[in-house]
Amino acid sequence: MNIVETVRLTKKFGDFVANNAISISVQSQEIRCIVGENGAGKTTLMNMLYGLLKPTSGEIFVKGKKVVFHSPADAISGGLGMVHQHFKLVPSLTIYENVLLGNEIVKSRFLINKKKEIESVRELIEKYKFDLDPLAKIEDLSIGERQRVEILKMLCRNVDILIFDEPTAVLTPQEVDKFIDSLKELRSNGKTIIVITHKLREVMELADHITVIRHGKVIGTVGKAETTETELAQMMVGRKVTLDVANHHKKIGDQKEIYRVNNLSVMNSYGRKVLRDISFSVKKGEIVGIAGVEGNGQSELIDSLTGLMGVKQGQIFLEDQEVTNFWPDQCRRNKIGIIPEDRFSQGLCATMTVADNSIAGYHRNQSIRHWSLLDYRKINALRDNYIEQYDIRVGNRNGEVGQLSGGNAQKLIIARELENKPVLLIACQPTRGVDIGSIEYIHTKIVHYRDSGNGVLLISSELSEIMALSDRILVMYKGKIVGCVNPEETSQEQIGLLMAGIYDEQGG
Amino acid sequence: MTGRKIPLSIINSLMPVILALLIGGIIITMIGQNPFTTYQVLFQQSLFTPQGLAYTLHGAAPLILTGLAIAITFKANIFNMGVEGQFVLGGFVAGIVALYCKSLPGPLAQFICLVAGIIGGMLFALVPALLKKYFRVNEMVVTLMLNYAMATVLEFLTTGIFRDNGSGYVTTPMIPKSVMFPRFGDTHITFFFVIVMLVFIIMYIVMKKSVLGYEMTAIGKNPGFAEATGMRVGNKIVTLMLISGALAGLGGAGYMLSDQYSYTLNFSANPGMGWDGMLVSLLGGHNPLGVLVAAVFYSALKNGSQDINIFTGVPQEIIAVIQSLLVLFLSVKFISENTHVFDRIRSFFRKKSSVKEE
Amino acid sequence: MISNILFDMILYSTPIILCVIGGNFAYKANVLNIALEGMMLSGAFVSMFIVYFTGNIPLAVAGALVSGLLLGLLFSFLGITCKGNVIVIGLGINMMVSGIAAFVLRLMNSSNIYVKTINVSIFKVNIPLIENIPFIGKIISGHTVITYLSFFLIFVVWLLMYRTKLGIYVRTVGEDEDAAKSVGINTDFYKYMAVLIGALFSALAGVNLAMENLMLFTNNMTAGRGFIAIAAIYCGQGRPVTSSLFAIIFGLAWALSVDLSTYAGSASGLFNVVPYVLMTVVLAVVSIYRYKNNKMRGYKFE
Repeated sequence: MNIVETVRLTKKFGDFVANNAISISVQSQEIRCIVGENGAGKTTLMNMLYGLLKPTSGEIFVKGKKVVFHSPADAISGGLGMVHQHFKLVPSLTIYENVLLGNEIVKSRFLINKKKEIESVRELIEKYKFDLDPLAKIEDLSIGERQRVEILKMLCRNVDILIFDEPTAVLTPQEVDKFIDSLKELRSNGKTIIVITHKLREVMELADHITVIRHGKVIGTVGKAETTETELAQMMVGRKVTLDVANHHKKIGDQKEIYRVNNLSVMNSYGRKVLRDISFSVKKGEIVGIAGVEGNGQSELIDSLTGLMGVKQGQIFLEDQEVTNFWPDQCRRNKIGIIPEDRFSQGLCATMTVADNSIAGYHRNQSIRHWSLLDYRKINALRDNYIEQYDIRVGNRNGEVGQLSGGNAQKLIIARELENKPVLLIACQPTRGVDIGSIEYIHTKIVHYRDSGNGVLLISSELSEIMALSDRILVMYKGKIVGCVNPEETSQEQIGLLMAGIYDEQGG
Repeated sequence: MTGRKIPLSIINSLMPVILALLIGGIIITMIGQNPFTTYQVLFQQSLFTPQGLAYTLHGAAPLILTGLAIAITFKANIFNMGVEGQFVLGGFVAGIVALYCKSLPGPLAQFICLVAGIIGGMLFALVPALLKKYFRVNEMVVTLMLNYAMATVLEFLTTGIFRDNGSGYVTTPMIPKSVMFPRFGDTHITFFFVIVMLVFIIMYIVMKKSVLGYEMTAIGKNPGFAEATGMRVGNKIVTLMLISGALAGLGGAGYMLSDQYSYTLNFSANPGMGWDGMLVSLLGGHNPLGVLVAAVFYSALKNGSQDINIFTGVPQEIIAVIQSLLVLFLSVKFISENTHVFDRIRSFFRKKSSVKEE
Repeated sequence: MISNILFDMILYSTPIILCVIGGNFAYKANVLNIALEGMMLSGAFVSMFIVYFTGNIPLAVAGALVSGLLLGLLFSFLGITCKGNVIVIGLGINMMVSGIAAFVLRLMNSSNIYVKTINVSIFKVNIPLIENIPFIGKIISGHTVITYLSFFLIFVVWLLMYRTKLGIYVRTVGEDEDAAKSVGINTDFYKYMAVLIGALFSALAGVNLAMENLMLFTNNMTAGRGFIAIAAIYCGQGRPVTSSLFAIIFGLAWALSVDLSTYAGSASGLFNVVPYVLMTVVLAVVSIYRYKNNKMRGYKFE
């Protein structure tokens, strides 16, 4: 029986067709993966199913009945629940309060029955063997635990169909395995599962059927047994792709060290140590990758290195100059290029123009000023130069930066940082949410920049990216560097173990 | 700026004016007066006679400064609500300093008084700015409370140490005529208006063309981005607050030397020139040119309110009501690419009525 | 002397406490309501206006509450439904109330509204037994109805905030609107509720200030109490009991400034500064404490 079916579902945003006549049918108690590139329209499709977006045309059937969901609440009562990529949990509330949010158990019509609430959540946790304490606060939980809370939230609402949006993006390889087991457990308990992802390795491990979407259209649905990873990748991209990025590793001889971090330790605002005694160096002509599951101190490391966080312990040197506690403007003036972690909240300002964004961080340069005022003739020339040289696709050059796609926005940042000729580039998540074409382009640019004798510090949660680009890989776990490995001599699994904190002390 | 945006922003300023005048008209009708004659009296004298227009421009001068003082901070999403306090402090300081400048030549004395007023305004603004920079204290709450503290202190000083005992009401001594700005011919316009226009041009360049203006816009739109691209938001908050305080202080000092002669408890009137400045800045879309136009418009409104008091049965207090309505309507963007107020209002009512049907 | 100051502390705390416990909801729902000042003034004005013309006290209280609710609705409609800038709206409402009051007073040809025929002593409650306890009796007994009500309401609001759906939803809406939406909570509704509770309580504070204690309305008699309440809310981070304590500290400051100024002679006028300056200092100290471990550069904007 088809438990979920869409018939020619279409969604337009203005002139842009995000979903074009999508027809999919999902059988009861299967695990269905929906794959596609970033921007292919997967999330739009799921948001329509979940009542967050209204379809422009087309129909949705759940359990054979035609449905129109106006809100997630409608969808949930129709038996359809969703676990978002960014968890919808309230950090200051406890697990039980989050699980029962919107579904509270009350006594005397008014007051909340705390005892009963805790009890019922505890029962649910035991039923699915989720290993959580209902009284713990969300802000103290790990990412994997939060995901389980999110699943519980849906289960306590008795949904039959669970949609997961990029569920493994934030998990370690080991956590992913555990997650896949939980999904199978849920399926054997009678649930139907839809997973949106672009990670083909996991698709092959968990799916029963796979639907590929490209440019808002269904390219095809295949059974797992009848397909291969390579074939899926081809369907996704629409051309032949080599899954393994050409290995760019280069032998580093006795090159000069240009960047050195000594014994850096940082406490967060709760007084917890988030960076412990970090020391490393970057040589000329070297890409040093920092791998690790998100939330193990990478953000704090980036913030301390790029001047967004004050440092009390430890030192940072660029060539022979101490740059500890430099502010972002000082970093850039001293030739440290920064590609920030969060594109639209740190790298670019979505509501400012492309021209304004192409000088951000370098807006005090004399070259774009006339007397001491900003000279927009020079700035616009600079912008046009970036657009042409870095192949940035812009609809309206004079428009705001918010109109750019993820890939083009990132290219603008890279143009801005590289064209100001830094000697060290700190690149944080350079290809997150970027289409495959731009990923290749950005990788080439970074490698090219390294080859002209500069150093790169690459911080990414995408292990394949780290493996492909780095000449040396440092692995972070709980605020410490727990391993330094050579990508040519190490497998993804070994790094995965380090990322999960499993390492022998000598190796660290 | 694209060609489409300019009319949009004008509509966003015009709609509230029309709505506020409309509701004001209804109130006027309710107290048994004719709104059309009232509005005619309101604007005719103050905008369409040379004498009245000159008086309107004279009255606009301090409003341009307080308007710019608000605009430069609001644009950066900093809420300096202390413009009112900075304005009265600037006026008070100038009024007192002027008493000690009797023997100096006029222009020098005026210069000293204005500088004193500016310093007063800046000192007031420095307190919340430093609290914000170093301790992240909400500048809005601090400035709102310090306004009351300032009013109390000035009341104390005016009724005590600096009271002019020869006068029948509470006031500081009269500033000697030689220190006051001389008027141009038989108009009310003084040299202060020229100073204001110069300041306006400088502020226009600062806000539109300078690096500081660029950083101010960025901070207002996205403080995280501003910090990450090295704009040192904390330092900029202090800088912008100081400029804001200086403008407000200059406004108060200039108002004192061009209009008031002495500091009375009603120096800034009700609701106060600082709050008028907020309205002016909102009406002008926090844009320097807009502030200029809005200040003249609002000055005409205030100027004309005295006429309606004399020539019609409508009390001039109606202006404060219209002003608050203007502020309320200006808080909402009626038309823009992102926020379609009309659509939202429509769907709001549709939602309500559909609930009823069920 | 000391018992006098403490009695006055309770007296002056009352309107602030009401504004604080009401305003907490809007703070938690992430809708900064700085119109508390205007809502309080409106409660004061409308109650006295009605008493002046009808002499009917229950009607006056009801009218004041309705006026508060209407302002709350106006605030919510412009700020939540139309997505206007809430700070500007708040100031607009403050200006509007004071503008309308001035306008009406002018029409009445008066600078205030004063009702001589009703003595405020009818609102005072002398608690039997307690009033006979030396010292404490003098402090606790003899306050007005709304004063006792306000202290009781601290508890009610605590219950409302932490033990009911309303409280949990309001806090969720403020902390993560998407989380609330994803489980089908009507976020706008709870924001409206948060603002309306604040409006209602502030209007009651106005009744206490004007009618209960003085039988007198003068324009701008609220004198920034609404803003001080906001400072107290910030200090207590929206927690009902904690922020009420800050409100009481302010009440103490006000009592001290009033009671001590009688001994200060010519400097007495300066004592009125104490409450505002004290609150600024308290706000700064709380902020220093809260951010003492913070090493992140950069600022969050409200």
